[in-house]
Amino acid sequence: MSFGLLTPLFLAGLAAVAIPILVHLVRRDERDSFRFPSLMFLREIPVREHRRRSIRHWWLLALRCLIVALLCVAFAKPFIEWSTEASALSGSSRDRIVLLDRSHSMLSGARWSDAVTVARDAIDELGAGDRAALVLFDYETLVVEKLTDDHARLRAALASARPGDGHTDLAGAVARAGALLEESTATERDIVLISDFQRSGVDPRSRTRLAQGIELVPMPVTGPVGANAAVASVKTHREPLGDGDAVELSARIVSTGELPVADTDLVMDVNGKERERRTLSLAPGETRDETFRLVLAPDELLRVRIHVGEDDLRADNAHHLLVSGRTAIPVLLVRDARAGPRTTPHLEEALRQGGEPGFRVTPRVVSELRESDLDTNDVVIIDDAPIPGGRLGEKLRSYVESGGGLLVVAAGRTKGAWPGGDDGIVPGRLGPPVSRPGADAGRVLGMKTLHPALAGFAGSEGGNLASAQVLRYRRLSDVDEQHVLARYDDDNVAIAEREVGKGRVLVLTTTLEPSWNTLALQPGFLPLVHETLKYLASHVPAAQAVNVGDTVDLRSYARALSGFSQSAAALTRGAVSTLRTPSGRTLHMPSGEGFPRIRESGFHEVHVSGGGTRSLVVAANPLPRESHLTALDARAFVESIGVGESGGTSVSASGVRASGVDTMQNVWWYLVLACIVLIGLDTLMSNSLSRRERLS
Amino acid sequence: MKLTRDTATPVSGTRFIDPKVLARVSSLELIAKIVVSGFISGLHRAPYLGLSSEFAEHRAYMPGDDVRRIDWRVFGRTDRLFVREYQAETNANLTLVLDVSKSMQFASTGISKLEYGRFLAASVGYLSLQQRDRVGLITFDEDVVTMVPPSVKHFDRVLHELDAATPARGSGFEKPLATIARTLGRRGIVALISDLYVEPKVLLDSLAELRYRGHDVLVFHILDPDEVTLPKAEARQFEDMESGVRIPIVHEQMRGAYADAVQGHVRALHKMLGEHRMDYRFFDTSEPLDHALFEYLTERQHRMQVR
Repeated sequence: MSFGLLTPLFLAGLAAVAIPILVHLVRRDERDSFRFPSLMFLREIPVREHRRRSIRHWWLLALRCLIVALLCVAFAKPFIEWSTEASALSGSSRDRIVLLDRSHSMLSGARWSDAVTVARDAIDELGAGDRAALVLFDYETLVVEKLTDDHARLRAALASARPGDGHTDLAGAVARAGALLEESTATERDIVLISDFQRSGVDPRSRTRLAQGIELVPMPVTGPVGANAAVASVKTHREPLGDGDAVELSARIVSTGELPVADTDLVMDVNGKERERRTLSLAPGETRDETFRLVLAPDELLRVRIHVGEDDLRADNAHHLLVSGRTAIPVLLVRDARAGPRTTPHLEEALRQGGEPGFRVTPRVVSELRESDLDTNDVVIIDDAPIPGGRLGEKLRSYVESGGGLLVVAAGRTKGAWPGGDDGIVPGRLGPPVSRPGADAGRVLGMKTLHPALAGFAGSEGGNLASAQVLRYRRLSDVDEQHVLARYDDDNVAIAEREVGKGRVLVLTTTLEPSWNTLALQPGFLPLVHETLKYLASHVPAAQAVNVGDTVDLRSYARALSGFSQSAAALTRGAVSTLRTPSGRTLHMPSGEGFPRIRESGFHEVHVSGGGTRSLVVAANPLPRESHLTALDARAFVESIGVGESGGTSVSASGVRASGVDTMQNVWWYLVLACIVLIGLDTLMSNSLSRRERLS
Repeated sequence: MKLTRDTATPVSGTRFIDPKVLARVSSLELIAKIVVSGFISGLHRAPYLGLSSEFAEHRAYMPGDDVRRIDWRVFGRTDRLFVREYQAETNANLTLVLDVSKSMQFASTGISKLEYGRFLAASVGYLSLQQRDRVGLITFDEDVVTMVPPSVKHFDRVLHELDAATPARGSGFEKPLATIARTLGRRGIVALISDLYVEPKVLLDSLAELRYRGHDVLVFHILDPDEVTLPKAEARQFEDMESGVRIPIVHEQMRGAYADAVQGHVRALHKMLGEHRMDYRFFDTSEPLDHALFEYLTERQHRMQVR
């Protein structure tokens, strides 16, 4: 056990002990003078003053000096620390977690070798009966060896450890290591945290706490950082070019090292072959944007890799991405045969002008509609046409229930049984047309702009559709309020929605052509059509690349990627898939478990059984923040880790520690408490003395 | 001259009143009545405070004359009975001169010298008023503070001013007594009530003018018991109540010398004032006022008869 002071400078305040002494010597003379009518006779009497300055009430003086001294010592914050040697002598045991950072940044310089050496030392210094566990971490924590007293096994496991491409999550790792030690009954429990303590590896919002008695010993391994260039991101911009696209790739190159990057090669590989090479130089901290161009044929999928130079952090030197053709949502447009060709085909034009994704429209007359038409389209639009009944109606119902989207544009020709009868899939009951001619024309108001299909109209009442005039519409009654997305100014329903199974049905009670309204003439018409159809098709944008550490939903991924609808369909059916990583490892995923976590950077290939001959490809890159090697103060990090109920940190000879030392710092509270009691005692006794002296 | 309390009862069966009891009575007039009637009730004849009447002539004794007025010395020389005739029987002016300096505030027995002096002044004034004398009041410290001219009708005002007197300054004798001597016109009785922290020679010089103008001067010296014997205070220094000056005190060393100095001062006052035909009476605030006053008046009457 040892004693120490956190703020020893406060001991200088002990000089204040002189104050009560002076007060006793000086002040009492002034206070104790006796008022007498006249000193006429006393002046004539000679006096010897040998006792004038003597101190009375020695015990009161001692009490006051003690109060001052205790206050000074209290503010010096004394603490008591129990040494580990004492524990060893008492036969106690120790459990240690060797928490080793294996994130991508540990490849920089000699960090990894230094870290391994420190970890080996941490194992070597353990006594014979002491146990240790080896835990590697980056964004996830991997317990390589559980708590064991087989130190040789730990060393072997350490020798086989390697850094990966992942990013750092320090707080998560400490929390996991702390959880491992909570079950331990050892008298000494510590976590040796070996890391480069990247600033980007700490989420300031994280609130990690360790149980009481667990000591966190940080061991920073931060060597010099040389030159490091990284491809932080690549953005794509495409323009239609014939049947295909012209794609512009803008790569952002950053220099995150402490030395300049000189004359390094910037190369773009496409499908494994070098397409373009440049040379560039970067100063430390400099950022450069470089642009590459590609021409993409329809349904083509390009694996693009843009990489720069060679340095320690190899993973961030390259950025992988997929460049695919534009995706198009297949839409089945059903109309009545009597409608004939439109003179003003606003809906068709709106669908033709789809950007990313586009829309592939299949027109059908309702009388010629086949069940097979539903299988190849994601959205069905019944535009001013009778609702199919009978077997086709049942098929339409099951189509929606399995995830399809149905848009019913209700107008004069919309009639017939709803699929499923009264308990059908359409929200509400369709009534007769309502006319609002001339000045009485209706307006679309009260749009629920929180709805994904109408989110683009947020910010104004009715958005760009508010100025549209609605001359006629079909009354829709018996609609639950929760299903209403927009109303007319007379409170009749304009748009209503209903979820059926996995799919959605949306009803617009007026036309999408300018016969009953002027909606198609408004600027908001295009967004209304596009967003509504994307919503009904459950469209997810295709991912060019994912980050290492992300979990990928293969079904959604395949569905968003152009040309992989067969794979998406197979995955929907629960097909078995196999993932092959860039390093050649193979991961088999049983039926229904198509959610692999990506752990390497590069192109991953996924073979879906029954999904056609083309393999699904996933491009992955390290999280860009991992390239930033600025280290934080290990002390600051440890101080941010709470301990037990009270929390707190302190510094010891062996480095920065977060342990039970805080509890022992509470000594100063007791000293202050003692001071308060002594001051009260002093007051009581002083008053008593004064009273007694007055009486005498 | 003794400075300790003489508890011997001058009138058999009379109980004297503790000054602390008097201090609890709020009305000065009532206090005066209590004090004066207390010692008068045991006497056949009230003591006379007034001026000694001046001898005018002898006349032959006639039956019915008071035999006490027969001049036995003339009878011895002439074998004939003569009685004394006095010049005037007019009422006298009594001016009470009360010291209201800060030192008069001192109290160790529950009653201060100022309160004791108030009671004394009120009692003497009341007694004098009973004899149809005119009573006035002058209070002073460094200078004259208030002045109430002697009058038979002003006794209420005298009592009011006595009651309202508040110590504010230090004491002085030369200037106020000189002022009083110039102010008082008609010859009368001047009763000075003070703690007399002044050299006897200085006091005598200050009172000489009054005496020269024919006033009968009575000096009532009031001290607290703790002023007679040094108080046993724990304090290491004493502070003068008037000047604020402090001097170190070693009680055990100074007690004897102090008591001797006070005794010497009182003796000197008694001697010097007596030599100049001025009455001097020492009062201790722990001494019953009626007892002390009775003693003094008895002595004074005796002296007047001798004169």
